This record gives sequence, C-alpha cells and structure tokens, in this order.
Amino acid sequence: MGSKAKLLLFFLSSVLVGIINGIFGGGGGMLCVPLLKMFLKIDDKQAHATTVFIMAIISIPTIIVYITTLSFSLINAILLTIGVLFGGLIGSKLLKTLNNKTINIIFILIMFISGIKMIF
Amino acid sequence: MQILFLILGLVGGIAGGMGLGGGTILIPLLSIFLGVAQKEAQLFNVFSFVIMAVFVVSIYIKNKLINVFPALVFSVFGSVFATISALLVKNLQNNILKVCFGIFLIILAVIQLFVLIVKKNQNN
Repeated sequence: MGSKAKLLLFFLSSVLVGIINGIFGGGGGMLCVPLLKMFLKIDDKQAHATTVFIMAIISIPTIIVYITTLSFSLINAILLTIGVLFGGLIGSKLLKTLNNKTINIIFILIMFISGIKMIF
Repeated sequence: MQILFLILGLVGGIAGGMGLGGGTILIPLLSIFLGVAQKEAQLFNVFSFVIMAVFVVSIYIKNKLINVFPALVFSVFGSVFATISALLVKNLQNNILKVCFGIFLIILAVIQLFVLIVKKNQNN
C-alpha cells in the first residue's frame, strides 16, 4: 500500500474515532488502540496511553454538546464518577491480568450479550 | 437507588482500569440494570472517563508514553468530528440510539475477537 494511501487512512481513522465518540460517547478507544498499533510501530503501552489521551481530548466537545442538549441527573453522574475513580484504581492494580486470554474472552462475551440485550 | 450508581461506577472503573474499555460495559450496565436513558448513560460514561483520564494521563506524560504525532492528529480531527456527530445525534430518539449502540457493541466484540486471534497467531 502506498504511503499516501496509508496517510489518508490514518487521517480517516482519526475521523472515525471522533465520530464514534460523538455518537456513542464511548467505545472509540477500542478502535483507536488497534488502529494506532496498525499504523505506527508502537507497543501496547504507548498505544494505550496515547489512546487515553486522545479520547480525553475528543470527549470534551462531546460532553459539552451532550450537557447542553439533554437532561440528566448531576448527582448520579457524580456518584458514578466517584465509583469509576475508585474502580480505576483497583483495576490498574489488576492490570497484570490484561493479557490473560480468559479475561478477554469473558469480556468479549459480555459485550456480545449486552449488545443483544440492548437491541431487543 | 443512588448507591447503585456508585457500585456500577466501581464495576465499570475496574474494567476500564484493566484496559478492557470501561465505557463499553458501563453504558450497558446503566441501561440494562438502572434503566438509564441511552443519551444520559453515554453522557455519564464520557464524563466519568474524562475525570479519570485527567489523573491517568498525567502519569502517562510523566512516563513519556504518549506519542505526540498521532495524539495531535487524532485529537484535532477527532474533536471536530466528535462535535459534528454529537450535534447530529442530538435529535435522535433514545431507543433508536440504544439499538445502534447494541449493534456497535456486537461489532466491537467481533473486532476484539479478531484482534485476539491475530495476537494468538503471532505468538505461535
């Protein structure tokens, strides 16, 4: 594949990740990590770190648009965020299990079942 | 009832902290178990993520783990199109968006499976 085509696909990937974030408010990271690893020769850690940074930045306009266009419970948002902060702390301690194939397969199953449940 | 948001946040946070992509189970958890409307669930997810990301990214920067070129490109283009897309779904009905999200989850699951298989073949 020509380098110009590759560069174009690189930019299109950034567009896709942005669109996913704007429409769904999540899940963009799961596309961003493999995309970054595909286009650049970087390891898992860098791809993950760079993705988190990207997601954080592009989530800001998403949040602004969502906050100004829909009604929501601020208290619930704060409670959830507190839970997420503590959960993230715990989760990072369990990071060693990240490459555990079993955990990944379980997670894939959860996503699949959740997807079905949300459709029907 | 409200403590459930704390608990679900914990679960989602643990998944996210492990690098599994917390948002992809947090939104279904909120929607399925607490009956939160789709757009509100999405807002909760993206909001809590950014708050947590502030802490995590500061560590990444300190450890020089962030690749500047893709970070810049993706942040700029991503922000523009995130804005446009968020405005586009502004008037989309919650139940339609919910179904779309469900389809998206299934697609993600398939992609993750594919990535896993590729990884396994690389190790052999």
